[in-house]
Amino acid sequence: MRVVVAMSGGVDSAVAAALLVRAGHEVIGVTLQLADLSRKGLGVSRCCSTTDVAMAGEVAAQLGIRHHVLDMERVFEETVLKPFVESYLAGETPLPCAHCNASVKFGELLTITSQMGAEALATGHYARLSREGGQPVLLRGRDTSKDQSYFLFGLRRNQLSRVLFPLGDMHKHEVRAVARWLGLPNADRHDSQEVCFVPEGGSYVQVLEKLAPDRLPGEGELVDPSGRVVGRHPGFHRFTIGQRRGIGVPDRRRLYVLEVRPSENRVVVSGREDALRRRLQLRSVNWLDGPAEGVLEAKVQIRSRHTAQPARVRLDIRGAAEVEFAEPVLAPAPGQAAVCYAGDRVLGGGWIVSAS
Amino acid sequence: MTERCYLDWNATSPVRPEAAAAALDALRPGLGNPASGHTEGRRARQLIEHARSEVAAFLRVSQQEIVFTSGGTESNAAALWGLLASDGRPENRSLLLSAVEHPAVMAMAGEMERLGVNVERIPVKSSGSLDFVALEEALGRNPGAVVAIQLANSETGVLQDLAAVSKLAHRSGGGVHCDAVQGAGKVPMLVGAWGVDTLAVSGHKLGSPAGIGALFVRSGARLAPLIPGTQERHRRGGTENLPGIAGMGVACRMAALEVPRWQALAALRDTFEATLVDRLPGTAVMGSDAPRLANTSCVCLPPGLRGGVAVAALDLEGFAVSSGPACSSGVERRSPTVEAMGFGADAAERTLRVSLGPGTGEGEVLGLVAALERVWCRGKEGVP
Repeated sequence: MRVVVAMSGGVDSAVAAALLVRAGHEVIGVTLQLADLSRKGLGVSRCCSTTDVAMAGEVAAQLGIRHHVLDMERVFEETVLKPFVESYLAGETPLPCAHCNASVKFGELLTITSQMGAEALATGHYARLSREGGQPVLLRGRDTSKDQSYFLFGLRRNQLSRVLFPLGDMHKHEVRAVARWLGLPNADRHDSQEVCFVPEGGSYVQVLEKLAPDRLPGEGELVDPSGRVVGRHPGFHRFTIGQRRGIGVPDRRRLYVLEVRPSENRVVVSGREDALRRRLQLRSVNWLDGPAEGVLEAKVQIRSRHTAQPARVRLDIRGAAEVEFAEPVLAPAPGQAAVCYAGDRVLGGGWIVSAS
Repeated sequence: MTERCYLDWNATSPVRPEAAAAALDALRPGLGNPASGHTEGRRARQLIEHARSEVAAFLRVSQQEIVFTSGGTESNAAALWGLLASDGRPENRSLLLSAVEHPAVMAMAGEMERLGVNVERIPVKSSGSLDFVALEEALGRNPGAVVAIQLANSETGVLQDLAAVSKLAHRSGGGVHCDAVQGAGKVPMLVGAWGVDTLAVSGHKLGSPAGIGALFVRSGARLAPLIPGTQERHRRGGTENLPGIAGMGVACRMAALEVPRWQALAALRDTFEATLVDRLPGTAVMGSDAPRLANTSCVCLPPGLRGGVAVAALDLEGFAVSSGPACSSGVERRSPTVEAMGFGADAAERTLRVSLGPGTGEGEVLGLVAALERVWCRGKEGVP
């Protein structure tokens, strides 16, 4: 069948494309130009730069497949970058990759896949899909250290039904081995660690400084949970909930950021015991496993590198949910996703609004 | 692969067999360096001067006014540099250029800006025609400015009133450069009547191999060389590209005779546009209110269908079209021209350019409409 593969220039999507070619599919490589912040003067950003696009083109040429580069900067700016900025300025910790997956990669690109007459869209994500009774089931990737299912919880069933994850059953070292065996030019390229639009070796703060220079908060107070001032901070946008480093206040305990309060320009810090939360309120729940109602037991993951913990989930048919953990979890952050699993299986998830 | 249908003649024209033969012939033994004083050098020189006379005849100018370059981009760059640096002090000069100039001209203007030239972009109206009120105002602010204006826009085909631009620029004491890369050969070349000081043409758009172009420099115009050297009467250094020049000579000779064929494409283009608008509601034709090339159709597709996606999808269906100026990285970018015409970035992302050539038939353009309709419907249904 005809398959569109989203090729970033990295080794994962290259191997995904190669495997589909070997399986006999008619493969079309598509590279999305999402945010070339180097053109916006932010130095060299790793993803979406000219070199990545060129690398994707080189891989496609070597595989003998068609390759198209699409300028999607505007839709990316509207649906990912701007909400990213707004989220930080509202004191949240955004999860841009999940938004990009839902609206760009598996949103607009899936429409494009149809327009190109292709039956499926494949990506190099480490996640698995199976079918049960005609319904797609999203599972964690076999390589749990690389698993990306957390970022994919927002995909609708009708989106998942037209998606392929060729790397879902592979480990990263196997992917690299395949890439070397095929002689792909990016076989030994280093992995990306950060969000794609954050410059190499830099931080998200630079992105905020670039995109919203006039709206960045100034200096403010660091307070403890009782409201007592314990220090100064250089701008609340530099702090994310759960952060431990760079707080700059001497304390015998290890301090965590508990809360960011934009309206007061304050950042609340305290010791670990004050950062524990048992309940989460979720919004915009996307449920993949049957109807989104009732109460169930699941393991819930609250950030990308977090081991899912047992919880009771109460689903509200209006798209909200409440999560109650069996044991308290450390520093859940509004803006991040809470994704519910049964074993490897993604049941669904929602966006964290608040924690208590 | 299925049979291909090439409807991207504004990007490049297929190489004419006659031009290819002439280029190959110029690679035969017995031809020396045109600068050499011996028989072999003289033969090469004759070949170049013969080609020069053909290019001059095509443009209806004198042979001494033609300088061979490596192509349209170099011709444009050499003209802008040459006019602005003619007195050795480009930082005291101003450059006015239309907001719809080709990226090659824009890029050189950017470089000149970096060197201290005051660069102003003159807007166009929604029709794509130059805003003459804005030009006059800009000339008022910058007397003696160099004005760069294209003959035809590569995306919309809209033709500019070169004679009127020249008149205003000259009255203000400045020079005029015309980028004629896109329009050359598609409309009669009345370079004398247009009154421009310099004019760029590219070989490959006319059916010669790529890598060759020419710059017309009006006799008497003062130009600093972009590439200094003794060749081309000190106007362009570097040993001449003999096969390219030979190919371009033949291409120009043939192109001069084909202008009516290009102009006759208007009927076919109109059929294409009428059928497309009828079959794909929400489609709009850009630049149709202005005089434009008869072979070029720039359409804004209905919401939901990106130009770049249409290009990729149509490629799979066997059609070669484009969504904007050809870009070396292969990125299908939104149309700078449509954006400059004031239609917004959204419309610019939905722009598709179809450019016909002699020999394009009704079946091909109707086939293209049918293919576009298929692509459009697939996207609406969300199933292949």
